[in-house]
Amino acid sequence: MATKQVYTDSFFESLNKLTGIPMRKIKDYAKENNPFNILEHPMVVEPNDRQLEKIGKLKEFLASYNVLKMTQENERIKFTSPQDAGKYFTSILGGMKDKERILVAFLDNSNSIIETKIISEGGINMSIVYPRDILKMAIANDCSNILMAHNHPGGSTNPSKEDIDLTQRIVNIFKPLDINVIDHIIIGGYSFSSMAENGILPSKSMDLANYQPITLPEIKEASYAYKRPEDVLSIEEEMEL
Amino acid sequence: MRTELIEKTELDRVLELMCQILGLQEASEKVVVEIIKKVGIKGFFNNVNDLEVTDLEKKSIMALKLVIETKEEEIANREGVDTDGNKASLYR
Repeated sequence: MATKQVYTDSFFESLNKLTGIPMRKIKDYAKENNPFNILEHPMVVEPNDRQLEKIGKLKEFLASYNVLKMTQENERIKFTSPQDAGKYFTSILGGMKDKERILVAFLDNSNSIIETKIISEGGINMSIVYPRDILKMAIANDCSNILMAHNHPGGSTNPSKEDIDLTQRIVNIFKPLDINVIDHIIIGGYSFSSMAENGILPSKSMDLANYQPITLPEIKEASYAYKRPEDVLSIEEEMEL
Repeated sequence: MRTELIEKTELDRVLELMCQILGLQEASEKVVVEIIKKVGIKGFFNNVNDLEVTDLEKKSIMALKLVIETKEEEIANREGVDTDGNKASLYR
């Protein structure tokens, strides 16, 4: 069971010291909300420009601090859950709005990172992924598992149909080689979603391996949302609604 | 990008952001950077009282330490729930 977090006055004072947001505003907000939400949604405390900048830096610092600590504590980062993977990739891709970057972490059989590579660095319009290159890297690293991640410059964490198709193409290539794609993390702003956690990660090879380059086109925000088969209503169900 | 390179990038990023957040003087900045490189980020926050920085800067570092610790407590509480569910075991 989760225990309710107690926030001390010293904590509020610290947040005030680091961000410049008046104590009264922080405390008022924290009466009904998690005060760390202020870092995600600073406008809830109506900050001025200087305070907004400080909030942004503190938020970025906390994300980077976590990964640095994780890296320094463990010589090799090990993933046991989508949260681990999300935190790790958010620290690298979090907040990137200029272009889409696709990363692959090549993992050993205990899901520890052997190597993380940027496999595609596109523009805001599209990215191109070369499956041959990923295959070469996977073989060179003698990996057992693969973890994919990319950012959506638009900020959405919803996987698009193209994201799912890309993952399926990679699964088609690696599954016959006994290399599992264990997750695909989507980063939007400083948030993330996990295809594995959401039950939409392709796990089986559905077609022959196709090594042709894959283009991830620009996706309009409205079309990001992907519906799981069980979420799609039948015509009868829709009629009832 | 090897893990060591990511660590270096993260270290640079953490150092830069930390110095900006704390508004450290140039001399203090050097002290902080040197210690973090020597003892690691966690070790640094364990020994704030011994730092050769101004009292005001020390208070800011303590404030940052408290925010980090509170955030970590909060994550630990939240993940306590996850370990009872399926999330934590998803990759095993």
